[in-house]
Amino acid sequence: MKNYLMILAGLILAVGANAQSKISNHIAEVNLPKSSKNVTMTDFETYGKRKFKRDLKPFDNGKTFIVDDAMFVSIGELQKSAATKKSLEKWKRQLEALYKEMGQPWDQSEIDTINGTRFYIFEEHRDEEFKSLFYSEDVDDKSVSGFIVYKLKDRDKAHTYLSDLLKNIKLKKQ
Amino acid sequence: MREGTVLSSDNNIKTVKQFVTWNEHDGFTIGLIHSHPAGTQPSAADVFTLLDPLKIPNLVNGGATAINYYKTNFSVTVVVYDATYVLKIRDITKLQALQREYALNNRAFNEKVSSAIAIKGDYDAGFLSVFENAVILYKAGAKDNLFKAAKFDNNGNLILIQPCL
Repeated sequence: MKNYLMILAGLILAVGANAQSKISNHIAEVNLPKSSKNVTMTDFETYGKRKFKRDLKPFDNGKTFIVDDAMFVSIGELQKSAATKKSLEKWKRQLEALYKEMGQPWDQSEIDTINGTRFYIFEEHRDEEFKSLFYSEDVDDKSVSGFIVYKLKDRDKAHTYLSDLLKNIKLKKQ
Repeated sequence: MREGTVLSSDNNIKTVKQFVTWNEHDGFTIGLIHSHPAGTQPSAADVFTLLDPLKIPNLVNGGATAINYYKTNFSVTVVVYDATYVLKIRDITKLQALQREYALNNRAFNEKVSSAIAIKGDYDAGFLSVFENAVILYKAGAKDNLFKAAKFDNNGNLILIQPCL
């Protein structure tokens, strides 16, 4: 317990020193909500395993954040190949079919346009642990994608965070 | 014995029983086929049917030649609404290790697969990222019937390789 508290305190200090308000990749600029603290992918997974039972493997080529010690956020860039390129509608159908096959219900599965950008948003939960995923429309065979993992008690806060985040993703469209 | 759903010629979805046999009288089964009328791609459970023949004493006791024949030729075919998938064994030891992990906690294993699919933003890519060392995955579109092997390129992107014609 003592070790755990020491790791937690160290991590909080570490992330406090790494606050980041903006990230930019090949296709988007993302202004992050103020409370987002940048952490390494290793810390993200290590600390996440202590806090959640579920898998927290982050998106490739991206950044990881912890918000208020309650929400674990991964934002990445998906590169599409001819084999993986598809519409958001098809991806929605595939993901829903997967969860149906597993007998796992979902809480939200919607395509929405936010500030001119189309996103597919999917939320599911296992016991009291929730995961919200989002996928932007493609730009040059790439899309901005991410997830937030949180507990039931933080669900409202997570929805607000996600809403703020999606409003602040600006795709570099031609 | 396996049960699978098929779309019959009268357009009804029916359940059929498929028996895996390995003897001269009933035949040597080298493939199972079923459809997913609901439109889902192959599941983890489908992958592990590749190991079903190892439950047959005739095969297991048939020696190295019989086992090698099975490992080389046995396939599981899954027909979905827009594609047909064929799964074959790449490395039986790795496949058996994954099956043990699945048997231990299939909920956790399914979560691992669904998480991989979500992270890749693609069913085939996520599925293959979990199973690529254990199985070979071929895919054909519903309209072309040309099976291509799925693999990752050096940048980690899923590509479909057309076999030599």
